[in-house]
Amino acid sequence: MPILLWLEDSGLSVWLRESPSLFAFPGVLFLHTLGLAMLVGPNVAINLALLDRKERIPPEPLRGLYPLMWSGFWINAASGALLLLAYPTKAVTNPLFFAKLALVAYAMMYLQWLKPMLRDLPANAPDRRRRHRMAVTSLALWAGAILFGRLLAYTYSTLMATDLV
Amino acid sequence: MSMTEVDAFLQSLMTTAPAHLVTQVAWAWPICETLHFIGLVLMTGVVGVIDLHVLGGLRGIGFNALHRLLPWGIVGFVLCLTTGAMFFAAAPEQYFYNQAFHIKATALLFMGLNVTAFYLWAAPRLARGDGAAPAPAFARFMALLSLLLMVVVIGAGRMLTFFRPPFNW
Repeated sequence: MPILLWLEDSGLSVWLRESPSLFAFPGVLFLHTLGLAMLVGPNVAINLALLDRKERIPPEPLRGLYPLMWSGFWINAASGALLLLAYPTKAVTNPLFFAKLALVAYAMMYLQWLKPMLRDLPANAPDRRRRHRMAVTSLALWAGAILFGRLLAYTYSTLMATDLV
Repeated sequence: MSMTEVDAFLQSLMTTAPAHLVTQVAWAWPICETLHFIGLVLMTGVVGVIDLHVLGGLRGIGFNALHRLLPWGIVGFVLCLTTGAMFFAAAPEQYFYNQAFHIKATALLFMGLNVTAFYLWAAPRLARGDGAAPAPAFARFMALLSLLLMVVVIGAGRMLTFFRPPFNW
């Protein structure tokens, strides 16, 4: 795979992998975790607010969290791209990597679908059930994305393009 | 306690059941890491949203209403504490002699002091309000400190791997 070799030989990729600086690989990992907290943390709080049995939490003001969550998303898109650049072969040879991306994409779509529903508490039972179902699905999608992300460190088959014979 | 006694104690942790579980059972370590991260988003999500509310965001929700989420934040913290204790027991010297761990533990200690002060002095006042009036300055300071300390804990936690002894000596 010439493109993987070329990516791994690029200056930025080598720096990310080999630099002893804390701003290289460790710093990018930190940003990826910070973005996780900014995006998934508030999304989890929104889901839990919708699942509150007594429905005492008015959902409308929770829309104010969307800019923060999107900032977290973009921090993770950028830091994730750098992590991919550091070890492209390791990622693309692992099916779990693509499964994680699919779960994140699906969770982000849910987040956007949920936004118009963050209005006054639903008066009727079908609306309430629908919102509860969406909140539970969103929680499950993020749990899956976190699980797959963590497993990436343990399930890869090939680290570098030079290992691909 | 002399240093040899400390080391003997650390060594003895490695023979405990939680340490065995996390090192001997296949996939136990990554599963516990996953639970640690799920705990992280539960805790930072719930606590962070409450902090943002105290700082003046999310107007229209009363402090008491938002505070109903707190049990989930506590679930997250307990998840992190339990899995974190398992990691520590499995490789005590990797943490005890790790500068990143010292920073993380110190930040967690300050977090505990901050949360105690918050519930002693700020929360009772906020609970009496309707959420419309701005929180007192000292309450806003505690909320800001809470957010900063969570960032430090996440950052230092991420650095643990890179400060593993004896590589950094």
